[in-house]
This record gives sequence, C-alpha cells and structure tokens, in this order.
Amino acid sequence: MKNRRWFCGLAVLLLLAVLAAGCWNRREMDTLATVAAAAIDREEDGSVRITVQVVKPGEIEAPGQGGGGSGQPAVALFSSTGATVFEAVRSMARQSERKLYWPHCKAVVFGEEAARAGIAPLRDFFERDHEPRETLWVLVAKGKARDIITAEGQLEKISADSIGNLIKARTATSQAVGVRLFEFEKMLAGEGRDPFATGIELVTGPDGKKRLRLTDTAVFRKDGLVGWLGADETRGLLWVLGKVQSGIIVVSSPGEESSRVSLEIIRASSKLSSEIKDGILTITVEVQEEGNLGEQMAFGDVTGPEAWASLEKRKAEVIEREIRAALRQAQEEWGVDIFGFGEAVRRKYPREWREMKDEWREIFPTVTVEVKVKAKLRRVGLVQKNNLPR
Amino acid sequence: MLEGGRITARQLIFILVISRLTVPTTSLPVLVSPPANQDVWLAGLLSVIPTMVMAAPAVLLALRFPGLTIIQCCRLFMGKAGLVIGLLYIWFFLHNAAISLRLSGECMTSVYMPETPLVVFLLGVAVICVSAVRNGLEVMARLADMLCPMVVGGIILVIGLVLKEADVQALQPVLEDGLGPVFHGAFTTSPRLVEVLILSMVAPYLNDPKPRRIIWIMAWTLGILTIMFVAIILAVIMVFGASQAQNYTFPFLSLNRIVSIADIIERIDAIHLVMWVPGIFIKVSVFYYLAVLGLSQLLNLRTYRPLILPMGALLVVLSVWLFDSLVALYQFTQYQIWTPYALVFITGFPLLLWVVALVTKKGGVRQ
Repeated sequence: MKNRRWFCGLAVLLLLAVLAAGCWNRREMDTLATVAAAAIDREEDGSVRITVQVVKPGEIEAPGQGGGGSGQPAVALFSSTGATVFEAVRSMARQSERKLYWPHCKAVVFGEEAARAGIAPLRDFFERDHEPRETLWVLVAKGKARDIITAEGQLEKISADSIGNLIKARTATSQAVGVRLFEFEKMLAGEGRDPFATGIELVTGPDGKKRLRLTDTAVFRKDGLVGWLGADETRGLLWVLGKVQSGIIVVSSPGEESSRVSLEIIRASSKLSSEIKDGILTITVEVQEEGNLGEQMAFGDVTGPEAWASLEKRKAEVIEREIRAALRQAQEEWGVDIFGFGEAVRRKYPREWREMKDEWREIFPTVTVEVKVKAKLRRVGLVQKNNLPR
Repeated sequence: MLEGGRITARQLIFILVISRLTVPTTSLPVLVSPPANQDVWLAGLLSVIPTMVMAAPAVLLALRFPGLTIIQCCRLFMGKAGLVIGLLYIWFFLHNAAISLRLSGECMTSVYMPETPLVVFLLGVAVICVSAVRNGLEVMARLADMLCPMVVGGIILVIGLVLKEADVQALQPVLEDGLGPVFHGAFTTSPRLVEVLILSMVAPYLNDPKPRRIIWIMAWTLGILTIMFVAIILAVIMVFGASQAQNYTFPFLSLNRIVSIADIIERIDAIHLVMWVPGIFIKVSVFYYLAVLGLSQLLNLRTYRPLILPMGALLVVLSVWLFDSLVALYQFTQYQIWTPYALVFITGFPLLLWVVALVTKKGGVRQ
C-alpha cells in the first residue's frame, strides 16, 4: 500500500515535469522574430502593406562590453502585402525566417494616405489579436509609414526604441502628443470626441543622414485623417485636455519688447465645463498653470512686482493664443471635436445631448468657447537678473 | 453520512466569494446589461437588494431544515415531484460547472495559447476537479481558505496599479437614462448569484449550523462580493470608457494588460492567471461536487464516490458540447437567457419548497 502511494506520487511528479515544461504553444527565443515596430501603408490597389522591424538579438551587445556585435544593423526589416492586415502579417512568414512575435511591438505607424482613408479597419487586428499589447503607441507618418520604420535610430540600435523615447520625451515641450492604442480606442469609441495621434516625420540631420522627429499632431474625423495640428496648436490642444506637463513659453520682456524671456512650465491643469443658457451652448476652458523664470535674454530686472505680474500676464496671453489657435483649426477648418467638448456637454446635459449628438458635427464649429487662463510665475532660478555687460 | 467533512463559516464565505468572482474577472457581462452605459456600476451596487430578496427563499429553507440539503428537502416532502426537482437541480449544478469549465478553456485559448485544443484545458482542469471532489468538501474548503486572499488581493492589486489611467469623468453623466434602467439592471444582474445554492447544499456540513451563522455568512458574502464587483466595474469603465469597456471580450484581463508603471511593473497578465485559474478550479469543483452529492442523496446512496468519474466525464463532454463558440457561450450568459433560467433554480424552486413546507407544517419545529 505504501509502495503504491510512492509510485503514484512519483508518476504524478514525472508527469508534471513533462507537462509543466511546455505545451502546444511552447516557443523558444531563438525561434521567434520579435517585432519592435510595424508600419502600415495602403498600396495603390487598396491592399495593405505592412513593414515590420524585427530585433536581431545577436546584434545587441550587453552594455559595457564594448565592441560587441558585428556592426551590423540590430534590426531586420520585412515587408509584405495582403488584402487585410492579418493576411499581410501572416504572409510575412514566407520571408521572415522565424514566426513574427508581437507582444514587444512598441509602436504602429500608419501611412498618411492610409490614415486619410480611415484607420479603423487597419487597427482592429492590433486590438483583437492577443499578441500586440493595448499599450503600443499609435503614430501617423507624414508620407509613407515604411520610410519611418526603415530609418535608423541615432542613439538607439533599434529605431522602435527611438520612437518610444521620443514619445516619452514629448513632455519636455508638450508640443507633441502620445497616444496609446487603448487611449485611441477610447477616443474613437466615445461619443462626442474625435481622435488624434502622434505625427512623425523624417528630417535630415547635420550629417546628411535621415532622423526621426515627432512633428505635428494627426487629427481625425471619425477615423480618417483630416489634417495636422502644428506645434503651438498641439500644445493648445494639450492645455485644454490638461495634459501639458512641461515646456517653454517665450514672451517678450516687459520694458524691452524686442528681447525674449523663456518661462518654464512646471505644472498645469484644466477644467472643461459646459453651459446651456437660453438654448445657447457655451464651453468654458479654465487652465491653471504654474511655472518658473527659465531664461532671460533681455537685461535688467524682471523680478520687480510690476514686471513679474506683467510676465504672468504675457504668459497667460500666450497660453490663450495657443488654445485659440487650436480651437480655430479644429472648429473652423475641420470641424472635429478633438477636445471632447461633446463629452463635456453629455456629462452635464445628457438629455439635451441626445438631441444634439446626431448634429454635433454641425453644432461644434459654432460653439462659443470661453478660455480662462490663470498663469503663475513662482521662482527665478539661481540668479536674480541678467547682468548688462559694461 | 455521505459527507463526513465539516467546514467553517469563513471557509464557506471564501468558497462563495471565489466562485462568484470568476465571472467579473473574465466576461463581466454586467457591462452590457441595462443601462449598458457608465451607470452599470450603480446597477451592480443596487443589485445587492434584489439579490437578498431572491436568495431569501433558499436561505429560509436552509434555516427551516438545518440538517438537510435542498435535495433532501425535495425528497422529504415533495414525493415524485421532489425527484424531478432534484434531478433538475443536479442538471443545473452540472450545467453551471460545465459553463465555468468552458469559459476557462475559452479564455485560455483566446488569450494565452490559441493553438492548443480546447479539450486539453478542459481535461486539465477536470482531472484536478475529480481529485478535489474525491477528497471531499473539507479539502475544497481548505483550498478556498488559501486561495481567496490571493484572488481578492490580486484584484485589489491590479485595480491599484491601473488607477493612474483612470478618469473619473468617464462615470458622468450619472443616471443618464434615469433610475428605471438602473433598477432593471440591478434586477437582471442579481440572479447571477447562483452561489446561494452552494449554501443551501452545504449548510448542513457547517461545523456550527446555527441560523444566525447562516445569515451572517450570507451578509459577509454579499458585502465582499458587492464591493469587489463594483470596484471592478468602476475600474474598467474609468480606464476604458463605457463604450470601449463593453467591446472587450475580457475587460478585466485587458485592464491587467495595460498596467505599466515606470517601465518596470508591466506585462503582469500572469496576475490575472494566478487569481483566476484557482477561482475557476474552485467554482468548477464545487458545482461538480454538488451535482455528485445531490445525485447520491437523491438516490439514497451510501457513498457518492462511484458517481465521481461518470459525472466528471459528463461534465467535460457537456462543456464541449453545450456551445459551438465563445459567441454562443456569451449569448447564453447574457441576461435575457441566463436571468430567467437561473431564477427558476435560485428563487423558484426554493420558494415552492418553502411554501409547501409551511402549508404541510414540515420542519422548523424548533430552532
């Protein structure tokens, strides 16, 4: 009896050792092609072209070893076409040597033309399939997306990491947005809001090589690209959304109008409210900002109470100007509600919203928007004034 | 005695809680039941009242016949009709176990191992369940003791980790469609607490089956469940927004997948598995056990052991055979079908039994 129990226990253990170590979907690192980023373009015949950047593990040396790797690019590039995204992805198997593995895909870049035609059909695969993460970055290229993916990073061996780093560094200027797939999805699915995504383009560096640069914000009507918000307008959008984290605001120096002063944004928040009075809808955007004096190219003392207050006022004006610029483009040029004003109306006036929502695209451009900015200046830095050279 | 084991009140609470939490951590069907917008959390919160009302007959019955399971009650004073009701209950228990088993397999094949045949997961879980049922109630109860903190802790941890993505404004407007749909939703959500039937089957095996104890168990279970339930709904809606949350097949899993804190704490899908696989396992084995126990009580067997393997085979076959696809499974668990179906067993039959007992003056002589 005791022997039998021992035997059973042993059998179970052995069985576990066999079963627990793997199953149908066992995949070893060296059988996978880890996708770092993907680009999606539409071909002229309407088919989908996918270009992927696959990490070559052998070419990434461990830090500190120096000289490792063979100087070869750390990524391999593959491209294929198909009638659908998934078909194109699968047909990559005929050339990629290993099976594409998506969980580490950092970013998906959509080509400008593909985006104009609508990206909702193109992004479903990334939502539905279990391998790509909901947290990947959504970008729109100016031009072809494949050019972005094939460009080399300068500091990073894998240019997908460059893209990720650029998006993370967006907060330094707040002049670019960062949108993850689930956030894009939320904007797309929500009532009374149009989505936007990060724009990316190639620029020529001082050495003549191509560089990646985050650029204007891609603005969509429903899921189709309608235009690009410039740098200032992008910050205007972020002010309204309360997503400005840092950045530089340049104003002219009080008393010395031709010279400039840089004010650093430290923190900002916003409040969006709506009001219907006598059948007229007004949206109020209240922005609160706090910052420091970052640089003074003018001379003289701006730390006096009058000049200080004047700086604060100028800063508030700049902020309002940026917001107005974004509003003007969104309302007058495109009629797309990237700010979520419709959502704000729905939050407060659900009943009125029900009547409005079908005509929201016509109503939105005519909505009066009040902008109230409270800008504070807190600190001066390590010196008080910029010495005038004598 | 068919079942020699005795369990404590806490263990029973834990079984009920784990078993119930497997649903909101996978499909979270409440998101699409009325009012089907950002107000569903209110429906979830209010559902505690109809749940109490609907669970009342089963609890009253358990109080009136402290030493008897609901199947034994059927046999005691319902005659031939009792036999039929008993058989229906056994079907219901088996059906429940099969649905949960299938759901577990579907989630595994959808998300983690799409190329693995479904049956592998079903058999894998079923084999462990057979072993659990062979070992009896006490073993399952002790397991629940161990697993419940893990399950509840895992949910709280995940919600805590995604809080920075949450947007309270997504909950507005509150009561967009008024109170009507919210009450409707509260009603349709409540019969999901089929776990009350575990109570009416297992109450006789409590080490302290005093009436006060049973009410206390129900109160704690409902309290913990409502809090967890509402917390999960709130988190999912605040992070994804109501419309996108409805669109996810496994909303809570998606919540796990977006956790990303300082590039260090991310890709924590495993937490979902850690809390959910044990949950499914407890749920399947408990309902499977109830079916086995119920049938042996109905047939007046001396031991339920001979029934375990045949019933287990039936369970696996049922879970494969019941639904063609995940879509069919979801259609069935939507409130339109599931609510009336479950209501018959949770409230209908217990109420009938209780009324008959009252009229024929059976049981409850002294308490």
